[in-house]
Amino acid sequence: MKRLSPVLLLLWLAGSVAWAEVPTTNVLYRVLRLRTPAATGSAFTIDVDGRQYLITARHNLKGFGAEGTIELWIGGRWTSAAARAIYPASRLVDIAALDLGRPVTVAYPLEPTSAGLLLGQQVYFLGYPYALGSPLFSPPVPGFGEIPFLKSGIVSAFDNRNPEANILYLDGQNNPGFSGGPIVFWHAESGRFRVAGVVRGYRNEALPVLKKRDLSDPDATAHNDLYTRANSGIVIGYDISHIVDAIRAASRGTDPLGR
Amino acid sequence: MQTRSMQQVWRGALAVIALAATAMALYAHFFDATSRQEEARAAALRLEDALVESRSRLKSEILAELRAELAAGGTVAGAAEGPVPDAVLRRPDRDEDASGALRQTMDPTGLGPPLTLGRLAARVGSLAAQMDESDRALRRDLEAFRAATQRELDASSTARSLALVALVALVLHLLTTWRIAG
Repeated sequence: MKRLSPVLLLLWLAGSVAWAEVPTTNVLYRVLRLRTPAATGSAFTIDVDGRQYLITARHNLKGFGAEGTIELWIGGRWTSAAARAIYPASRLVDIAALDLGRPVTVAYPLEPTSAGLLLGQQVYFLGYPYALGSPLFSPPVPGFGEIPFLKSGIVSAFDNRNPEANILYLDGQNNPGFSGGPIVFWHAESGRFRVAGVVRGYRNEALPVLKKRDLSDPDATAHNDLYTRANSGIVIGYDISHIVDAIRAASRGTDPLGR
Repeated sequence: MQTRSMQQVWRGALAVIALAATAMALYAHFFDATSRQEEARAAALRLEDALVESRSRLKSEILAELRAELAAGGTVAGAAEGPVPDAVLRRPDRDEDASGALRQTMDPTGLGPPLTLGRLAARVGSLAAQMDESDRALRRDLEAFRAATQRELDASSTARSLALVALVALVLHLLTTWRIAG
């Protein structure tokens, strides 16, 4: 028993540390459901140089242009807000920032950087798949709609061959609706979560449609050349640094594309 | 002749008194030593118990301290308290809230300095050192007590041996005196 006690103590401590790595309100209360004429997806806020911006996937703003109106699910209803869009220099990066001219969520610490993220580390991605989420306790948090859906995966790969479009690949099961949601990770040194990237979507794979008798045949070909689209389990996201750089460039008035 | 007889009587009486006193002293000493040994054994057991109790108390204090540090007071912010940074959302226990609605629970990592594994390891190391030091101090006390008891027992044993010698000498003296008188 004497020898066992330190082991039990360490196990208890490890358990205590583990629970602390669940996404905190610093992350949860920054995520919002977004609706535009193009799509309904997810968005979240970050603070850059003391100003709050709403971040989402660029494809959620298809046809939005430089300025327009978006809708946010706040307090149980859709609320319209005028926004000015900021896009990264590379069109490949599926991220956009919206400057609403005012903070719309809490501004609890949440650093937008992938610095310190480990290959293979567990990450969380948050959003509203199929408009699902957890009901909010009462009274509602100001500027907040619904607790987002959390899903998790590990960082499978960093693709930085194109320095203007760094991609994060996660091993996770993404669903429609997560687009524009944050990819967050626990940064042990700072003891806080960080936003590493933005969910773009997931990689599809084509699965052949087979006759029942061919199900156990690995060489069977698609029946009548029919295929179905399946989720490969690979989540694709872009590094948050692209939009932070774009925001800073826009605030300095040095946006190379003049947006 | 009468004076000589009186002297023998007095000498015999004094010898008998000395014999009786020595025997009684030996008897008393024997039982007293036995009871002292019992007492010492009981005290040693009490010290051992105290050592065990101290260890468990120290451990529980350490655990309580660590729990307090980790839970940062274990504050559970109710819904009425509004949003709280660095909190996690937790479904309450059934006896806390039957509705099962998520509640904010303070995440200790955001309240003080970052709680890293390294920091935890250092804390555990420091607390383990405290426990070792406390153990050593108690063991030192126990050893000192045992040594003192042993010294006392040795002295007592010597005194007992000397009293025995005196008793034997007295008996011989008495026998010799009575034989000469006879």
